[in-house]
Amino acid sequence: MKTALLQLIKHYWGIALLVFAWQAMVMVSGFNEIVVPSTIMVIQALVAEPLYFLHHSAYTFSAAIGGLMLGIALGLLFASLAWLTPVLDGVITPATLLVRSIPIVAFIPIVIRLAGYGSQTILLVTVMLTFFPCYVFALTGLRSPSKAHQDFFASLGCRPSGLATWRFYWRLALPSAVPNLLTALRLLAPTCVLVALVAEFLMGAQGLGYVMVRARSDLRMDVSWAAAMLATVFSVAFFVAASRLEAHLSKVWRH
Amino acid sequence: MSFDAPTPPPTLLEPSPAPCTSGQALTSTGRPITLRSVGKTYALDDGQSTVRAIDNVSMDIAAGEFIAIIGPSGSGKSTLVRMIAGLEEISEGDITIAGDSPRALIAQQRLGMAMQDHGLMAWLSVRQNIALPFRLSGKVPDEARIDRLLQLIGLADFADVRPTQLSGGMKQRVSLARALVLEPDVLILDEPFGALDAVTRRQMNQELQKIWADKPTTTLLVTHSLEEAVLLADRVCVMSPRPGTIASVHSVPLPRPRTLATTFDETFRQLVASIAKEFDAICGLGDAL
Amino acid sequence: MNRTSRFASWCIGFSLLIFFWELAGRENWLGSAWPSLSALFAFMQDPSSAALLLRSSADTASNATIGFLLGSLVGFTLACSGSVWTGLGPGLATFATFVNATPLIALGPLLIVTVGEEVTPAATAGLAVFFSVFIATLSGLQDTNRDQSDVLSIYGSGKIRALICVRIPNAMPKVMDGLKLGTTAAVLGAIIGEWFGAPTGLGVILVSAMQNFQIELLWASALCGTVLSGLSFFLLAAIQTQFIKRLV
Repeated sequence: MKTALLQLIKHYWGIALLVFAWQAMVMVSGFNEIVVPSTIMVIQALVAEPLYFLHHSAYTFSAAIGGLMLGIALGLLFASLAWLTPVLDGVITPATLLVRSIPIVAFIPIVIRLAGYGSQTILLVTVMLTFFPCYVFALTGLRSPSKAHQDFFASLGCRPSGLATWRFYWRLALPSAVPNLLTALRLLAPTCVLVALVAEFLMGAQGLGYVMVRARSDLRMDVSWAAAMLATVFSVAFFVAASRLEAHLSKVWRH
Repeated sequence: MSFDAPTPPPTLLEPSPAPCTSGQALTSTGRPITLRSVGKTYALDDGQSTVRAIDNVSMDIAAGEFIAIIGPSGSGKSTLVRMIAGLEEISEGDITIAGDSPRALIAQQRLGMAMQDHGLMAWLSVRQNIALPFRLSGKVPDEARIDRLLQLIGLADFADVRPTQLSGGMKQRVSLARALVLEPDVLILDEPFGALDAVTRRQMNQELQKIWADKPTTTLLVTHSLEEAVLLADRVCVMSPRPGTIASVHSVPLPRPRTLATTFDETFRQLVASIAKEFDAICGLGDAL
Repeated sequence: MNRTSRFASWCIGFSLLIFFWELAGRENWLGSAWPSLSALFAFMQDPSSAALLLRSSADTASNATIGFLLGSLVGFTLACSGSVWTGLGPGLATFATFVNATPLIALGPLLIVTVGEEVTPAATAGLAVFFSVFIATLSGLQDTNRDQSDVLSIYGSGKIRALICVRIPNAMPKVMDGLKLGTTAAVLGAIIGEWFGAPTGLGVILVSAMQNFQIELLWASALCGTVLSGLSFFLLAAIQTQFIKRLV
């Protein structure tokens, strides 16, 4: 029991310290509790209206995860086409470099103006953000089969040309790309949540990002902080789940 | 330089009259292979200079014969068998397998291959890995055949396990089973046990002997181990350093089935010793002896 | 030959992009929110708007710089402390995961009340830089060469000496990468922070231009943000190359 507690402290002292600092700040600073809500107040706010938070969380995370999945699917699709026809890669790779140098989050106001106020904007920005990294990861993965694997396939007359291309793709190239796709998922998961929150924050219609602004203008700091905390917890959970999945599968994939 | 039994480097080798002794002829399958003045030249990266890897190799391999190829590093052993397997372009000369080109053999999925890097698919179970050649040739996997091979390699209990959980020797056994699952007419083994420790290697030699005897086929084994070559092969070819040529060929008159006990046999010892001496001479170590 | 043809294809691609951008703006293909390049440049050359853009960029840049310096210092120090006091290790790893996944914007509500709306942009910039430098340093320190640290333990050198002599130099390439990513993160962080009610900066005009349909201003300020993050990225990349040149 004692060792378990010690382990808990050993692993979570950073987060415990943050919560402690927050509570200490509330008590020491003498700020009005309406301005700086205490830990308990935030939890009370969460418990008071669970359906309200559930609704907005669901909105935020369906947009973030949907956009991420769409981005990965499109990235994989185009990477597969580029794997087939290297000419396509010559078009997409320069675009990848160009887009990488743009701070996409700063362009969210522009996308909102272009695509309108609605969840399609969140989806669009998320796809814009995830497509290019996914494309790069997927293409590297599709081209990653080892010499030994390629030789084995070639010794059975299966080369990435002609009629055997599909078989080569399906049996070797695509499975080889799976770890890379999972790495992309892990790296992009928190970014997608951020993008969804920023877009909601700026559009002010629905979602946790919206709750953060709305509650603040209603002087309900406890609700605003609760939304922020919820967003953080979900984002971390999403990231941890993606990391676990990646770690588990990469253990299976690499000998 | 002094060494016993100086076999003159033959240019054209006749198939040994009786490669097998005990009843193997009855079950032997496979196709004969003919090499005529085969050469291989690589272009280096600068695009101008070239390296001569194989020079003027001619050989006749009978259907169902087991040939071992040994030679110092860089003598082009792998290049030679990869040309026979159709994985490498032939610069000069001609290789025919029962009258066809190596590429034709590949196209008919009649080639089996196992390499030092076992090349198992990490995402497939042992059974699925062995069944993969069926899938690649668009056939329905013959489950009975796969079961029999799993029995033979002693991994029936591991059929549904992923390769990650297997030891090095187990992976090589799966790789062997995969190479044999389509009952190939030509089997190429390119240092399949090169990465294994000495004890496992001896075990694997006996395993291979057993599996091969179950369905003998034309086999080419590249190896660094003289004992392995003599234990398994009907004929042992010694290659010289670059450019690789066949320096000598030794028939192995030991009866089959051979077991690890065969390695303590006097004939076996003598044969290994005489090939070893010649091998040292080829590597330029003759004077040091 | 290959390089020239690649360069040519780049040039063609770039000219096509500019051509279609201009055409789309003039013909209103993508609606009124897509300005033509010529209109955008005319707007940016106008003295009053140029002054506004320049002033806002300078504000954002100063916020980003303060955040960059503070964030990288704290991130680096905290990560290093983990390898001196090894007991901190597991907790630091959990903390890194947490930090990696925390959406920056969720810290906005907390920052505006604690440090105030005017300091929030520098704080968010600092946090963004802290995130990337902390994680890069931590992973850099983790992949220390085992043989080298064995040599140090054999000669009985202390943890701090091991850190300074072996672990930090080994981690430097990753730290530099983290700093490089940190530059763009700083600009982004500053812009996000400015959305929480700062008086000036690119983030402020981005939002007000979006709300007030000032399309040229909207695009021009986003462009300024891109230039800012691009410039700081290349500045740090140049420093990195110099650094490596001296090291090798």
